[in-house]
Amino acid sequence: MEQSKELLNDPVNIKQQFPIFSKFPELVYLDNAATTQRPQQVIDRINDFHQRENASIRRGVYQLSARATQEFEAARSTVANFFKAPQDDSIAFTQGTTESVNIVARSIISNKLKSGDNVVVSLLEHHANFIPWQMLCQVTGSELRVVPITKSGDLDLNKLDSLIDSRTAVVAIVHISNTLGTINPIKEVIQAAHLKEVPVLIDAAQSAALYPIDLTELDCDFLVCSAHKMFGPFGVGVLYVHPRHHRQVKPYNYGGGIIRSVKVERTEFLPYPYLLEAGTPNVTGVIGLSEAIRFIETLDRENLVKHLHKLTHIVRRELADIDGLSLVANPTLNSSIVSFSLAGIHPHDIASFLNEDTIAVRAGQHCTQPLLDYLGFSATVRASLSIYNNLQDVDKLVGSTREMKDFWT
Amino acid sequence: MTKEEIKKLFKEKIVPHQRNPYHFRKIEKPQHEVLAYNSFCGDKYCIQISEDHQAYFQGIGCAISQASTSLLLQRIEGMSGIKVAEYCQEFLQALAQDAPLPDEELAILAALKHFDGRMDCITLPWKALGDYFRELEDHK
Repeated sequence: MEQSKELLNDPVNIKQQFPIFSKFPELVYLDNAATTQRPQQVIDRINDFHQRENASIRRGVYQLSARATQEFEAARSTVANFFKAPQDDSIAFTQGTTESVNIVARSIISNKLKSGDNVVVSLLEHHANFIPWQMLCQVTGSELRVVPITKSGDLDLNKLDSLIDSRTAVVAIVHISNTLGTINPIKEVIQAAHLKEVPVLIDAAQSAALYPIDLTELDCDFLVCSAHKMFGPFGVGVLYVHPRHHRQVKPYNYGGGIIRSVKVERTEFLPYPYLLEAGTPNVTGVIGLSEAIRFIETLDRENLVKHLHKLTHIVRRELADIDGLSLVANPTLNSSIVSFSLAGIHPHDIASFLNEDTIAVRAGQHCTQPLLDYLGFSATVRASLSIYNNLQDVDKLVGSTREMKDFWT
Repeated sequence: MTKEEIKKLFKEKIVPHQRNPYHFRKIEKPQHEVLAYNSFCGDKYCIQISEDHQAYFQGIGCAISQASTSLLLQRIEGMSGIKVAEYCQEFLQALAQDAPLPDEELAILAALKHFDGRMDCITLPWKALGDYFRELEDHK
Protein backbone atom coordinates (compact mmCIF):
# COMPACT_ATOMS: atom_id res chain seq x y z
CA MET A 1 0.00 0.00 0.00
CA GLU A 2 2.90 2.31 0.81
CA GLN A 3 4.08 1.94 -2.73
CA SER A 4 0.73 2.86 -4.29
CA LYS A 5 0.81 6.23 -2.48
CA GLU A 6 4.01 7.08 -4.28
CA LEU A 7 2.60 6.44 -7.71
CA LEU A 8 2.37 9.49 -9.96
CA ASN A 9 -1.09 10.78 -10.71
CA ASP A 10 -0.66 14.53 -11.09
CA PRO A 11 -0.56 15.59 -14.77
CA VAL A 12 1.58 18.64 -13.85
CA ASN A 13 4.30 16.50 -12.25
CA ILE A 14 4.01 13.97 -15.04
CA LYS A 15 4.29 16.67 -17.71
CA GLN A 16 7.60 17.81 -16.20
CA GLN A 17 9.08 14.44 -17.02
CA PHE A 18 8.53 14.96 -20.74
CA PRO A 19 11.24 17.29 -22.11
CA ILE A 20 9.25 18.19 -25.22
CA PHE A 21 7.00 20.32 -23.00
CA SER A 22 10.00 22.22 -21.64
CA LYS A 23 11.14 22.87 -25.18
CA PHE A 24 7.61 23.89 -26.27
CA PRO A 25 5.80 25.10 -23.12
CA GLU A 26 2.79 26.27 -25.13
CA LEU A 27 2.29 22.92 -26.85
CA VAL A 28 -1.09 21.31 -26.31
CA TYR A 29 -0.39 17.82 -27.54
CA LEU A 30 -3.61 16.02 -28.38
CA ASP A 31 -2.40 13.45 -30.90
CA ASN A 32 -1.59 10.70 -28.43
CA ALA A 33 -3.54 8.11 -30.38
CA ALA A 34 -0.94 8.55 -33.14
CA THR A 35 2.07 8.52 -30.83
CA THR A 36 2.75 9.47 -27.22
CA GLN A 37 5.62 11.69 -26.12
CA ARG A 38 8.76 10.20 -24.51
CA PRO A 39 9.71 10.83 -20.88
CA GLN A 40 13.28 11.80 -19.95
CA GLN A 41 13.75 8.38 -18.35
CA VAL A 42 13.26 6.59 -21.69
CA ILE A 43 15.38 9.09 -23.62
CA ASP A 44 18.20 8.71 -21.07
CA ARG A 45 18.05 4.93 -21.15
CA ILE A 46 18.31 4.87 -24.95
CA ASN A 47 21.20 7.35 -24.83
CA ASP A 48 22.93 5.28 -22.16
CA PHE A 49 22.64 2.17 -24.25
CA HIS A 50 24.13 3.95 -27.25
CA GLN A 51 26.94 5.42 -25.19
CA ARG A 52 27.85 2.51 -22.93
CA GLU A 53 26.24 -0.75 -23.96
CA ASN A 54 25.90 -0.82 -27.74
CA ALA A 55 26.64 -4.22 -29.28
CA SER A 56 24.92 -6.79 -31.45
CA ILE A 57 23.04 -9.37 -29.40
CA ARG A 58 23.37 -13.17 -29.28
CA ARG A 59 26.34 -13.45 -31.63
CA GLY A 60 29.20 -12.01 -29.63
CA VAL A 61 31.21 -13.76 -26.92
CA TYR A 62 32.57 -10.52 -25.56
CA GLN A 63 31.26 -8.69 -22.53
CA LEU A 64 29.38 -5.90 -24.33
CA SER A 65 27.46 -8.32 -26.52
CA ALA A 66 26.67 -10.62 -23.60
CA ARG A 67 25.35 -7.65 -21.60
CA ALA A 68 23.25 -6.38 -24.51
CA THR A 69 21.79 -9.88 -24.97
CA GLN A 70 20.97 -10.02 -21.28
CA GLU A 71 19.22 -6.64 -21.43
CA PHE A 72 17.28 -7.67 -24.53
CA GLU A 73 16.02 -10.87 -22.92
CA ALA A 74 15.32 -9.03 -19.66
CA ALA A 75 13.09 -6.71 -21.70
CA ARG A 76 11.14 -9.76 -22.86
CA SER A 77 10.51 -10.63 -19.20
CA THR A 78 9.57 -7.03 -18.38
CA VAL A 79 6.98 -6.99 -21.17
CA ALA A 80 5.68 -10.46 -20.20
CA ASN A 81 5.33 -9.42 -16.54
CA PHE A 82 3.68 -6.13 -17.46
CA PHE A 83 0.95 -7.93 -19.39
CA LYS A 84 0.92 -10.89 -16.97
CA ALA A 85 1.71 -13.32 -19.80
CA PRO A 86 1.83 -16.98 -18.76
CA GLN A 87 5.42 -17.35 -20.02
CA ASP A 88 8.21 -14.91 -20.89
CA ASP A 89 8.74 -16.66 -24.21
CA SER A 90 5.18 -15.80 -25.26
CA ILE A 91 6.46 -12.36 -26.22
CA ALA A 92 8.06 -11.67 -29.61
CA PHE A 93 9.47 -8.30 -30.60
CA THR A 94 8.38 -6.90 -33.95
CA GLN A 95 8.49 -3.57 -35.74
CA GLY A 96 5.09 -2.52 -34.46
CA THR A 97 1.41 -3.39 -34.18
CA THR A 98 1.03 -3.56 -37.96
CA GLU A 99 3.79 -6.11 -38.33
CA SER A 100 2.49 -8.10 -35.36
CA VAL A 101 -0.95 -8.45 -36.98
CA ASN A 102 0.64 -9.38 -40.30
CA ILE A 103 2.67 -12.09 -38.57
CA VAL A 104 -0.43 -13.63 -36.99
CA ALA A 105 -2.23 -13.48 -40.35
CA ARG A 106 0.57 -14.78 -42.54
CA SER A 107 2.63 -17.00 -40.24
CA ILE A 108 -0.08 -18.58 -38.09
CA ILE A 109 -3.66 -18.29 -39.39
CA SER A 110 -2.74 -18.67 -43.07
CA ASN A 111 -1.44 -22.18 -42.34
CA LYS A 112 -4.91 -23.40 -41.51
CA LEU A 113 -7.20 -21.12 -43.50
CA LYS A 114 -9.04 -22.88 -46.33
CA SER A 115 -11.52 -21.80 -48.95
CA GLY A 116 -14.93 -21.45 -47.32
CA ASP A 117 -13.51 -20.52 -43.91
CA ASN A 118 -13.95 -17.04 -42.54
CA VAL A 119 -12.21 -14.35 -40.48
CA VAL A 120 -14.19 -12.02 -38.21
CA VAL A 121 -13.10 -8.40 -37.71
CA SER A 122 -15.10 -5.30 -36.75
CA LEU A 123 -15.95 -2.06 -38.47
CA LEU A 124 -13.91 -0.28 -35.79
CA GLU A 125 -10.60 -1.77 -36.92
CA HIS A 126 -7.58 0.29 -37.88
CA HIS A 127 -6.43 -0.65 -41.40
CA ALA A 128 -3.57 -2.53 -39.71
CA ASN A 129 -6.08 -5.02 -38.32
CA PHE A 130 -8.26 -5.03 -41.41
CA ILE A 131 -6.20 -5.17 -44.59
CA PRO A 132 -3.97 -8.16 -43.54
CA TRP A 133 -7.17 -10.19 -43.01
CA GLN A 134 -8.85 -8.89 -46.15
CA MET A 135 -5.80 -9.86 -48.23
CA LEU A 136 -5.51 -13.26 -46.57
CA CYS A 137 -9.19 -13.97 -47.25
CA GLN A 138 -8.83 -12.93 -50.88
CA VAL A 139 -5.83 -15.20 -51.41
CA THR A 140 -7.39 -18.23 -49.70
CA GLY A 141 -10.97 -17.80 -50.94
CA SER A 142 -12.17 -17.21 -47.38
CA GLU A 143 -14.79 -14.76 -46.24
CA LEU A 144 -14.06 -11.56 -44.32
CA ARG A 145 -16.91 -10.97 -41.91
CA VAL A 146 -17.22 -7.48 -40.45
CA VAL A 147 -19.03 -6.97 -37.15
CA PRO A 148 -21.13 -3.80 -37.43
CA ILE A 149 -21.43 -1.06 -34.81
CA THR A 150 -24.49 0.44 -33.18
CA LYS A 151 -25.57 4.05 -33.70
CA SER A 152 -23.66 5.07 -30.57
CA GLY A 153 -20.42 3.61 -31.97
CA ASP A 154 -20.38 0.45 -29.86
CA LEU A 155 -19.51 -2.98 -31.15
CA ASP A 156 -22.70 -4.90 -31.96
CA LEU A 157 -22.14 -7.91 -29.71
CA ASN A 158 -25.26 -9.76 -30.88
CA LYS A 159 -24.07 -9.61 -34.47
CA LEU A 160 -20.59 -10.66 -33.40
CA ASP A 161 -21.94 -13.84 -31.92
CA SER A 162 -23.95 -14.67 -35.03
CA LEU A 163 -20.96 -14.11 -37.32
CA ILE A 164 -18.70 -16.60 -35.49
CA ASP A 165 -19.22 -20.20 -36.56
CA SER A 166 -17.35 -23.48 -36.90
CA ARG A 167 -15.53 -22.17 -40.00
CA THR A 168 -14.17 -19.06 -38.27
CA ALA A 169 -10.37 -19.16 -38.21
CA VAL A 170 -9.85 -16.12 -35.98
CA VAL A 171 -11.66 -13.15 -34.47
CA ALA A 172 -9.48 -10.03 -34.67
CA ILE A 173 -10.82 -7.15 -32.60
CA VAL A 174 -9.50 -3.79 -31.48
CA HIS A 175 -9.55 -3.06 -27.74
CA ILE A 176 -9.94 0.73 -28.09
CA SER A 177 -11.01 2.31 -31.37
CA ASN A 178 -8.38 4.80 -32.55
CA THR A 179 -11.07 6.92 -34.20
CA LEU A 180 -14.12 6.83 -31.92
CA GLY A 181 -12.46 5.97 -28.61
CA THR A 182 -14.88 3.08 -28.05
CA ILE A 183 -13.62 0.65 -25.41
CA ASN A 184 -14.66 -2.78 -26.61
CA PRO A 185 -15.74 -5.45 -24.12
CA ILE A 186 -12.87 -7.75 -25.03
CA LYS A 187 -13.59 -10.24 -22.22
CA GLU A 188 -17.03 -10.88 -23.69
CA VAL A 189 -15.60 -11.08 -27.22
CA ILE A 190 -13.01 -13.64 -26.12
CA GLN A 191 -15.59 -15.68 -24.23
CA ALA A 192 -18.00 -15.68 -27.19
CA ALA A 193 -15.27 -16.82 -29.57
CA HIS A 194 -13.79 -19.40 -27.23
CA LEU A 195 -17.22 -20.96 -26.68
CA LYS A 196 -16.98 -21.89 -30.37
CA GLU A 197 -13.28 -22.76 -30.05
CA VAL A 198 -12.21 -19.82 -32.19
CA PRO A 199 -8.94 -17.99 -31.35
CA VAL A 200 -8.97 -14.23 -30.73
CA LEU A 201 -6.48 -11.50 -31.56
CA ILE A 202 -6.69 -8.29 -29.54
CA ASP A 203 -5.29 -5.09 -31.06
CA ALA A 204 -4.18 -3.28 -27.91
CA ALA A 205 -2.34 -0.42 -29.66
CA GLN A 206 -4.50 2.23 -27.95
CA SER A 207 -4.95 0.49 -24.62
CA ALA A 208 -1.63 -1.16 -23.76
CA ALA A 209 -0.11 1.83 -21.96
CA LEU A 210 -2.84 2.85 -19.54
CA TYR A 211 -5.44 0.07 -19.33
CA PRO A 212 -3.98 -2.83 -17.35
CA ILE A 213 -4.07 -6.06 -19.33
CA ASP A 214 -3.86 -9.45 -17.64
CA LEU A 215 -3.15 -11.97 -20.38
CA THR A 216 -3.40 -14.94 -18.04
CA GLU A 217 -6.89 -13.91 -17.01
CA LEU A 218 -8.01 -12.71 -20.46
CA ASP A 219 -6.78 -15.94 -22.05
CA CYS A 220 -6.79 -14.38 -25.52
CA ASP A 221 -4.73 -16.10 -28.20
CA PHE A 222 -2.84 -13.15 -29.62
CA LEU A 223 -2.26 -9.58 -28.52
CA VAL A 224 -0.45 -6.85 -30.40
CA CYS A 225 0.75 -3.34 -29.52
CA SER A 226 3.44 -0.73 -30.25
CA ALA A 227 6.09 0.82 -28.01
CA HIS A 228 5.65 4.34 -29.41
CA LYS A 229 2.09 4.55 -28.12
CA MET A 230 3.39 3.53 -24.68
CA PHE A 231 5.88 6.39 -24.15
CA GLY A 232 8.56 4.26 -25.81
CA PRO A 233 10.45 4.62 -29.09
CA PHE A 234 9.28 4.15 -32.67
CA GLY A 235 9.97 0.93 -34.54
CA VAL A 236 9.24 -1.66 -31.86
CA GLY A 237 6.14 -3.74 -31.42
CA VAL A 238 4.98 -6.56 -29.24
CA LEU A 239 3.40 -9.78 -30.33
CA TYR A 240 1.97 -12.06 -27.68
CA VAL A 241 1.14 -15.60 -28.72
CA HIS A 242 -0.49 -17.91 -26.21
CA PRO A 243 1.70 -20.98 -25.53
CA ARG A 244 -0.99 -23.26 -27.01
CA HIS A 245 -0.17 -21.79 -30.45
CA HIS A 246 3.63 -21.58 -30.23
CA ARG A 247 4.24 -24.68 -32.31
CA GLN A 248 2.03 -23.42 -35.12
CA VAL A 249 4.08 -20.27 -35.69
CA LYS A 250 6.19 -20.30 -38.88
CA PRO A 251 9.02 -17.85 -39.59
CA TYR A 252 7.88 -14.53 -41.04
CA ASN A 253 11.18 -13.27 -42.38
CA TYR A 254 14.00 -15.63 -43.24
CA GLY A 255 17.57 -14.84 -42.23
CA GLY A 256 20.15 -15.11 -39.52
CA GLY A 257 19.44 -15.53 -35.82
CA ILE A 258 16.38 -17.75 -36.17
CA ILE A 259 17.97 -21.09 -37.04
CA ARG A 260 18.96 -24.30 -35.31
CA SER A 261 20.94 -25.48 -38.31
CA VAL A 262 21.36 -24.60 -41.95
CA LYS A 263 22.42 -27.19 -44.50
CA VAL A 264 22.49 -26.94 -48.25
CA GLU A 265 19.39 -29.16 -48.35
CA ARG A 266 17.32 -27.66 -45.55
CA THR A 267 17.09 -25.32 -42.59
CA GLU A 268 15.76 -26.05 -39.13
CA PHE A 269 14.36 -23.15 -37.18
CA LEU A 270 14.38 -22.15 -33.52
CA PRO A 271 11.06 -22.29 -31.68
CA TYR A 272 8.74 -19.31 -31.18
CA PRO A 273 9.46 -16.45 -30.41
CA TYR A 274 13.03 -16.61 -31.72
CA LEU A 275 12.02 -17.80 -35.21
CA LEU A 276 10.28 -14.46 -35.71
CA GLU A 277 13.27 -12.31 -34.86
CA ALA A 278 15.42 -12.72 -37.99
CA GLY A 279 18.33 -10.37 -38.58
CA THR A 280 19.71 -7.95 -36.02
CA PRO A 281 16.73 -6.83 -33.94
CA ASN A 282 16.00 -3.27 -32.87
CA VAL A 283 17.88 -3.74 -29.59
CA THR A 284 17.80 -0.07 -28.64
CA GLY A 285 14.09 0.09 -29.31
CA VAL A 286 13.36 -2.98 -27.21
CA ILE A 287 15.42 -1.61 -24.33
CA GLY A 288 13.58 1.70 -24.73
CA LEU A 289 10.26 -0.14 -24.53
CA SER A 290 11.41 -1.91 -21.39
CA GLU A 291 12.25 1.46 -19.81
CA ALA A 292 8.91 2.88 -20.95
CA ILE A 293 7.20 0.07 -19.06
CA ARG A 294 9.27 0.89 -15.98
CA PHE A 295 8.03 4.47 -16.38
CA ILE A 296 4.41 3.32 -16.74
CA GLU A 297 4.81 1.27 -13.58
CA THR A 298 5.51 4.49 -11.67
CA LEU A 299 2.08 5.79 -12.67
CA ASP A 300 -1.16 5.50 -10.76
CA ARG A 301 -2.92 4.22 -13.84
CA GLU A 302 -6.27 3.69 -12.17
CA ASN A 303 -6.60 7.31 -11.12
CA LEU A 304 -4.99 8.66 -14.29
CA VAL A 305 -7.52 6.82 -16.44
CA LYS A 306 -10.32 8.20 -14.26
CA HIS A 307 -8.86 11.69 -14.69
CA LEU A 308 -8.60 11.19 -18.46
CA HIS A 309 -12.17 9.95 -18.73
CA LYS A 310 -13.31 13.00 -16.78
CA LEU A 311 -11.32 15.37 -19.03
CA THR A 312 -12.66 13.62 -22.12
CA HIS A 313 -16.20 13.97 -20.82
CA ILE A 314 -15.59 17.72 -20.49
CA VAL A 315 -14.12 17.90 -24.00
CA ARG A 316 -17.17 16.13 -25.43
CA ARG A 317 -19.62 18.28 -23.48
CA GLU A 318 -17.93 21.60 -24.32
CA LEU A 319 -17.34 20.80 -27.98
CA ALA A 320 -20.93 19.59 -28.44
CA ASP A 321 -22.04 23.02 -27.22
CA ILE A 322 -20.44 24.73 -30.25
CA ASP A 323 -23.00 25.53 -32.92
CA GLY A 324 -22.51 23.35 -36.00
CA LEU A 325 -20.14 20.93 -34.28
CA SER A 326 -20.95 17.21 -34.40
CA LEU A 327 -19.29 14.61 -32.25
CA VAL A 328 -18.66 11.45 -34.22
CA ALA A 329 -20.46 8.74 -32.24
CA ASN A 330 -21.04 8.58 -28.52
CA PRO A 331 -19.80 5.20 -27.30
CA THR A 332 -21.15 3.80 -24.03
CA LEU A 333 -17.62 3.26 -22.81
CA ASN A 334 -15.13 5.65 -24.31
CA SER A 335 -11.48 6.26 -23.64
CA SER A 336 -9.69 9.57 -24.12
CA ILE A 337 -10.24 9.88 -27.87
CA VAL A 338 -12.81 12.27 -29.38
CA SER A 339 -13.61 12.68 -33.07
CA PHE A 340 -15.62 15.64 -34.34
CA SER A 341 -16.52 17.69 -37.37
CA LEU A 342 -17.66 21.28 -37.89
CA ALA A 343 -20.25 22.17 -40.52
CA GLY A 344 -18.68 24.02 -43.44
CA ILE A 345 -15.06 23.68 -42.31
CA HIS A 346 -12.93 20.81 -43.49
CA PRO A 347 -11.10 18.87 -40.72
CA HIS A 348 -7.74 19.73 -42.26
CA ASP A 349 -8.49 23.43 -42.07
CA ILE A 350 -9.61 23.01 -38.46
CA ALA A 351 -6.38 21.18 -37.59
CA SER A 352 -4.28 23.84 -39.33
CA PHE A 353 -5.96 26.65 -37.42
CA LEU A 354 -5.63 24.78 -34.13
CA ASN A 355 -1.95 24.36 -34.98
CA GLU A 356 -1.66 28.13 -35.19
CA ASP A 357 -2.68 28.10 -31.52
CA THR A 358 -0.06 25.39 -30.83
CA ILE A 359 -2.69 22.69 -30.48
CA ALA A 360 -1.70 19.41 -32.12
CA VAL A 361 -4.65 17.30 -33.25
CA ARG A 362 -5.06 14.82 -36.09
CA ALA A 363 -7.33 15.36 -39.09
CA GLY A 364 -8.15 12.78 -41.71
CA GLN A 365 -9.43 9.26 -41.89
CA HIS A 366 -7.23 7.85 -39.12
CA CYS A 367 -6.62 4.65 -41.15
CA THR A 368 -10.26 3.67 -40.66
CA GLN A 369 -11.82 4.27 -44.06
CA PRO A 370 -14.53 1.56 -43.82
CA LEU A 371 -15.65 3.05 -40.50
CA LEU A 372 -15.78 6.63 -41.78
CA ASP A 373 -17.56 5.52 -44.97
CA TYR A 374 -20.17 3.80 -42.83
CA LEU A 375 -20.60 6.88 -40.63
CA GLY A 376 -20.77 9.16 -43.68
CA PHE A 377 -17.67 11.25 -42.96
CA SER A 378 -14.89 11.86 -45.47
CA ALA A 379 -12.63 12.88 -42.58
CA THR A 380 -12.79 13.99 -38.94
CA VAL A 381 -10.75 15.94 -36.43
CA ARG A 382 -9.46 13.73 -33.65
CA ALA A 383 -8.27 14.89 -30.25
CA SER A 384 -6.66 12.17 -28.15
CA LEU A 385 -5.53 12.85 -24.59
CA SER A 386 -2.88 11.31 -22.41
CA ILE A 387 -1.41 11.50 -18.93
CA TYR A 388 0.17 14.97 -19.33
CA ASN A 389 -3.01 16.69 -20.54
CA ASN A 390 -4.95 18.90 -18.14
CA LEU A 391 -7.98 21.18 -17.94
CA GLN A 392 -6.04 24.10 -19.44
CA ASP A 393 -5.40 22.00 -22.55
CA VAL A 394 -9.09 21.23 -22.82
CA ASP A 395 -10.04 24.89 -22.39
CA LYS A 396 -7.57 25.89 -25.07
CA LEU A 397 -8.90 23.30 -27.53
CA VAL A 398 -12.51 24.33 -26.95
CA GLY A 399 -11.72 28.06 -27.00
CA SER A 400 -9.73 27.85 -30.24
CA THR A 401 -12.36 25.72 -31.93
CA ARG A 402 -15.05 28.18 -30.93
CA GLU A 403 -12.95 31.13 -32.14
CA MET A 404 -12.31 29.40 -35.45
CA LYS A 405 -15.99 28.71 -35.94
CA ASP A 406 -16.72 32.43 -35.42
CA PHE A 407 -13.94 33.43 -37.82
CA TRP A 408 -15.10 31.07 -40.53
CA THR A 409 -18.81 31.92 -40.45
CA MET B 1 3.64 34.53 -41.32
CA THR B 2 1.70 35.41 -38.18
CA LYS B 3 -1.59 33.80 -37.22
CA GLU B 4 -3.42 37.02 -38.06
CA GLU B 5 -1.78 37.23 -41.49
CA ILE B 6 -2.72 33.63 -42.23
CA LYS B 7 -6.28 34.25 -41.11
CA LYS B 8 -6.50 37.32 -43.34
CA LEU B 9 -5.11 35.40 -46.29
CA PHE B 10 -7.58 32.61 -45.71
CA LYS B 11 -10.56 34.87 -45.33
CA GLU B 12 -9.77 37.03 -48.37
CA LYS B 13 -8.25 34.61 -50.81
CA ILE B 14 -9.01 31.01 -49.95
CA VAL B 15 -12.47 30.97 -48.37
CA PRO B 16 -14.07 32.71 -51.42
CA HIS B 17 -12.81 29.88 -53.62
CA GLN B 18 -14.13 27.36 -51.14
CA ARG B 19 -17.53 29.03 -51.07
CA ASN B 20 -17.76 29.61 -54.81
CA PRO B 21 -15.41 27.18 -56.48
CA TYR B 22 -14.96 27.51 -60.19
CA HIS B 23 -17.07 25.13 -62.35
CA PHE B 24 -17.97 23.00 -59.34
CA ARG B 25 -20.28 20.55 -61.06
CA LYS B 26 -20.30 17.31 -62.95
CA ILE B 27 -20.78 17.24 -66.72
CA GLU B 28 -22.12 14.55 -69.05
CA LYS B 29 -19.70 12.87 -71.44
CA PRO B 30 -16.37 14.49 -70.49
CA GLN B 31 -13.42 13.93 -72.79
CA HIS B 32 -11.12 13.37 -69.80
CA GLU B 33 -11.92 12.39 -66.24
CA VAL B 34 -9.19 12.46 -63.61
CA LEU B 35 -9.39 11.44 -59.96
CA ALA B 36 -7.40 13.60 -57.55
CA TYR B 37 -7.36 11.63 -54.33
CA ASN B 38 -5.30 11.88 -51.17
CA SER B 39 -5.85 8.61 -49.33
CA PHE B 40 -4.19 9.95 -46.16
CA CYS B 41 -6.72 12.72 -45.56
CA GLY B 42 -9.65 11.70 -47.74
CA ASP B 43 -9.68 14.71 -50.09
CA LYS B 44 -11.19 13.46 -53.33
CA TYR B 45 -12.05 15.39 -56.48
CA CYS B 46 -13.25 14.22 -59.86
CA ILE B 47 -11.81 16.62 -62.46
CA GLN B 48 -13.46 16.59 -65.85
CA ILE B 49 -12.35 18.19 -69.11
CA SER B 50 -14.96 18.65 -71.81
CA GLU B 51 -14.40 18.28 -75.54
CA ASP B 52 -14.15 22.05 -75.87
CA HIS B 53 -11.39 22.13 -73.18
CA GLN B 54 -13.54 23.47 -70.36
CA ALA B 55 -12.61 22.16 -66.91
CA TYR B 56 -14.99 21.13 -64.09
CA PHE B 57 -14.64 19.45 -60.75
CA GLN B 58 -16.64 17.98 -57.94
CA GLY B 59 -15.84 16.25 -54.68
CA ILE B 60 -14.87 16.73 -51.07
CA GLY B 61 -11.80 18.37 -49.63
CA CYS B 62 -10.31 21.10 -47.50
CA ALA B 63 -10.38 24.80 -48.31
CA ILE B 64 -6.80 24.76 -49.60
CA SER B 65 -7.16 21.80 -51.97
CA GLN B 66 -10.49 23.18 -53.17
CA ALA B 67 -9.05 26.64 -53.80
CA SER B 68 -6.02 25.11 -55.48
CA THR B 69 -8.21 23.02 -57.80
CA SER B 70 -10.45 25.99 -58.51
CA LEU B 71 -7.45 28.18 -59.42
CA LEU B 72 -5.87 25.46 -61.54
CA LEU B 73 -9.00 24.77 -63.57
CA GLN B 74 -9.50 28.46 -64.32
CA ARG B 75 -6.03 28.53 -65.82
CA ILE B 76 -5.95 25.43 -68.00
CA GLU B 77 -9.08 25.99 -70.01
CA GLY B 78 -8.35 25.91 -73.71
CA MET B 79 -4.98 24.25 -73.23
CA SER B 80 -3.99 21.00 -74.97
CA GLY B 81 -3.19 17.95 -72.81
CA ILE B 82 0.56 18.35 -73.16
CA LYS B 83 0.28 22.05 -72.32
CA VAL B 84 -1.63 21.16 -69.13
CA ALA B 85 1.08 18.63 -68.18
CA GLU B 86 3.80 21.24 -68.72
CA TYR B 87 1.88 23.94 -66.87
CA CYS B 88 1.34 21.66 -63.85
CA GLN B 89 4.99 20.62 -63.83
CA GLU B 90 6.19 24.23 -63.98
CA PHE B 91 4.00 25.18 -61.03
CA LEU B 92 5.07 22.18 -58.96
CA GLN B 93 8.74 22.90 -59.71
CA ALA B 94 8.41 26.56 -58.80
CA LEU B 95 6.63 25.59 -55.60
CA ALA B 96 9.33 23.08 -54.65
CA GLN B 97 12.16 25.51 -55.39
CA ASP B 98 10.52 28.56 -53.82
CA ALA B 99 10.81 30.26 -57.21
CA PRO B 100 8.72 33.41 -57.68
CA LEU B 101 5.33 32.91 -59.29
CA PRO B 102 4.27 35.72 -61.62
CA ASP B 103 0.60 34.90 -61.09
CA GLU B 104 -0.57 36.72 -57.94
CA GLU B 105 -3.24 34.19 -56.96
CA LEU B 106 -0.88 31.24 -57.42
CA ALA B 107 1.66 33.10 -55.29
CA ILE B 108 -0.92 32.99 -52.50
CA LEU B 109 -1.07 29.22 -52.82
CA ALA B 110 2.71 29.15 -52.57
CA ALA B 111 2.52 31.26 -49.41
CA LEU B 112 0.32 28.58 -47.85
CA LYS B 113 3.26 26.21 -48.13
CA HIS B 114 4.33 27.61 -44.78
CA PHE B 115 1.14 26.35 -43.21
CA ASP B 116 2.60 23.20 -41.62
CA GLY B 117 1.83 19.96 -43.41
CA ARG B 118 -0.41 21.44 -46.11
CA MET B 119 1.83 20.98 -49.17
CA ASP B 120 -0.16 17.93 -50.32
CA CYS B 121 -3.38 19.95 -50.19
CA ILE B 122 -1.88 22.53 -52.58
CA THR B 123 -0.35 20.04 -54.98
CA LEU B 124 -3.15 17.43 -55.11
CA PRO B 125 -4.93 18.56 -58.32
CA TRP B 126 -1.70 19.71 -60.00
CA LYS B 127 -0.07 16.32 -59.54
CA ALA B 128 -3.18 14.40 -60.58
CA LEU B 129 -3.78 16.39 -63.78
CA GLY B 130 -0.09 16.65 -64.64
CA ASP B 131 0.45 12.90 -64.21
CA TYR B 132 -2.68 12.06 -66.20
CA PHE B 133 -1.74 14.13 -69.25
CA ARG B 134 1.95 13.16 -69.01
CA GLU B 135 0.97 9.49 -69.13
CA LEU B 136 -1.43 10.07 -72.03
CA GLU B 137 1.40 11.75 -73.91
CA ASP B 138 3.86 8.94 -73.12
CA HIS B 139 1.43 6.34 -74.48
CA LYS B 140 0.84 8.15 -77.76
